[in-house]
Amino acid sequence: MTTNLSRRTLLKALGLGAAATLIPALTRAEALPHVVVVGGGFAGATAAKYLKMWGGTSVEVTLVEPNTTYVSPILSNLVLNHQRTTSDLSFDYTHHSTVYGINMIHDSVNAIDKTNQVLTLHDGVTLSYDRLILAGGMDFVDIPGLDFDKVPHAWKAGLQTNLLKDQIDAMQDGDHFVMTVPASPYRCPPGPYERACVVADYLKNTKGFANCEVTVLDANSAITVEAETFGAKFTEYGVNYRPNIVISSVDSDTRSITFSENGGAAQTLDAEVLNVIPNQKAAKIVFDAGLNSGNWAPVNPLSYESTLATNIHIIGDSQATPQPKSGHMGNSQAKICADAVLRSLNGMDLNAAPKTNTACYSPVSATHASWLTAVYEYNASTQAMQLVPGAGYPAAGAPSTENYTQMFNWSGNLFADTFA
Amino acid sequence: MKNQRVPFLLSGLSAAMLLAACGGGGSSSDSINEVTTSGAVISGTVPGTKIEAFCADGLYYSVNSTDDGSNEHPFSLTVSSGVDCHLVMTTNEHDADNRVITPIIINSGTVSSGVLNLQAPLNMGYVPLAMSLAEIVDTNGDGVSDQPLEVALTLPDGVVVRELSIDPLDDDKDGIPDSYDDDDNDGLYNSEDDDDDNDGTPDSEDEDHDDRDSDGIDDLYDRDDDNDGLTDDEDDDDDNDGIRDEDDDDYDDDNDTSSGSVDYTPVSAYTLSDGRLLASQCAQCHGTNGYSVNEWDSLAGESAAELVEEMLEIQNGEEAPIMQAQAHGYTQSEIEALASWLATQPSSESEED
Repeated sequence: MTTNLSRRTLLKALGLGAAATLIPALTRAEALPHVVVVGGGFAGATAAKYLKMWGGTSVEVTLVEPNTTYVSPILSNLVLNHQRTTSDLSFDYTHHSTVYGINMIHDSVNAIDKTNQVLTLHDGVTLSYDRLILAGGMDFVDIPGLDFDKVPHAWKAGLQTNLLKDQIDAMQDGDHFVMTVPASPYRCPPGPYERACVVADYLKNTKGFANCEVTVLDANSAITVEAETFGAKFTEYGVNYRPNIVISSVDSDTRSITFSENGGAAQTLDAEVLNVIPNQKAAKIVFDAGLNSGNWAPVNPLSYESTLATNIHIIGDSQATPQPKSGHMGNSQAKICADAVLRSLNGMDLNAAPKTNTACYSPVSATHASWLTAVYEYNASTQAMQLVPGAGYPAAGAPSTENYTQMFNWSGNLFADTFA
Repeated sequence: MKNQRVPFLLSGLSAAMLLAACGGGGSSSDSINEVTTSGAVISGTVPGTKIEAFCADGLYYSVNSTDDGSNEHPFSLTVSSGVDCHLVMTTNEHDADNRVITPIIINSGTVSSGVLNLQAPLNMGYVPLAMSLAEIVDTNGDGVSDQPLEVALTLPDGVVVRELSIDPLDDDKDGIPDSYDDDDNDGLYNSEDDDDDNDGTPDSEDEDHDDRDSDGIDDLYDRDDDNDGLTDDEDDDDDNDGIRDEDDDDYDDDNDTSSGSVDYTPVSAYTLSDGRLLASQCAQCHGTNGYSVNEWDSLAGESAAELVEEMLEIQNGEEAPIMQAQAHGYTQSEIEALASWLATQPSSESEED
């Protein structure tokens, strides 16, 4: 087992550890199973926590995450209209370390050796694993000319969110806000429509700009979720909604976007603020490790184990099941995966009937929010997750001030279940 | 250096202990424990000794054995419960030139390791420590035995000795905790060494050193950054530089001292529970193990019958619409299974109905 954690070991390896030869050989018993989780978002942070909460001292858990602070994309559209700040949405891994006894390593992964079950981190450290859980979120498909420092996606929260907020704050009456909706599947299905509503409401009702135009360029053929809610709000706010868009390029300096609509000829639109949320694919680590099929990672939904490699599990946005890609769903899958990993380490059969769920409150202004929810079940004949039939899923609730208040109870418990 | 400081609770007694010296007889006092809210007690007898524990949550505990006039002085030390800890024992602890620092490893019969995890008291019996430097191998002359002392014990239930893939308290897994390792082989162990890597930059200014007490736990996750025996919450000088935190330019409240809202009870082996797995899917909205952190209902502590009845009522449509929509996704037998498990969770203090 190779574990080189710091310069301490490095110094020893360089020959300074003369004393090493004097150390008695310890009685080697079977070491504890080591589960390494890569990625500290909603999926990965939940998996690490539940592995220790349920597995206790029978399992050793290491969470590898480059950042010491995580900024939640959930609620981050409320940063754009000044209802929240990114620091309100920031979480750390203190409880993971001090309450649950999880090894925290703030680094990124360079390579996965699937045969020997060893990870190499960016700083050269290697980690052996008995089970590996990849929770790397999603990555963007390239668009020619797109520079996120000038044309933010704001689809991973933090600096990007504040960059977009600052650009919106600098808008004058009569300016044009153009945003894009990626082709399904993408992270947070209601999110782009929610953002369009929040920004349109902010410009019109908070800033009092009567002449700002908000345009939504949607890669999909129609609003993908809560179509009734968002359609009505787009009409109310005067949002210019254009489906069936294929983007060909972006000029990040002039903030112009070139695209075709309904398969037509290329056209270009200029904007004072351009927010391009590109099409998405599994995280880079999934591709690097050869765990993708197409843009996503196929898994067994009973365990989230890759169908392309043993002892590697993939949860959250990167995996290919038809469940929506969201923080709530990543948290939900993480528990199925944690349970399955612990069962397999203990030689037990997997749970044959896992259930997951999703719920999402979407603000459509600074006072109103809607919701969307569904429960998923495992279909043994198709070996896939599906909406529980006959229950009217996905179920949705219309925007209200009551739902706006409830939104913070939902997010509060979700945040705590993941990070506290 | 920093962790050589006599712990806070002992400061009033240090003079008496100094006069008594090792095995000197005469002076006696009650054994003193560091107090924690949930601790496990290690006890035993030793020659006159300082006993230290370094724990993976960054907490540091120490106590001096009680001189009862015999050659086997009793001690009792309360450490973090359910957290991996390392033990180090020092004889002649008040004599810097002759002190003998002995890391301890425990052989349980199946595992030999310095990683000790207690959820129950452990009596170590008599620990035969070396009393002079001549008795130990110490190639770098830092006073720390190169060879940990292996103590064979039959462990009671609730006490585990284990090997780890990653041991933050002992990176190189040589049985000597990082505090007492000597990375740069300069004859000063790390916690006494102001420049652990001998690069000429003091640790306090070294960008690659974010572990002020050199215990192996980064300050970010260290509940006691300076290993003075006070948690950072209690300590108004977290880095022990003599400047109060409120006046200290390098003070960084990393908020790492909370013991958390969830009562984490480690288990020794995985137990299968379909009800728990189903109930875990309620936690996204109702909190971990059914403990809500806000005005949404906590589910823990209600009887299974109450929970089942409520879910069936909700399915029939009296409650919040989003919960009604969720409730339709679960079968009667699933509801019964998750309710049975939730009913085993104790009521939270805020839910006293």
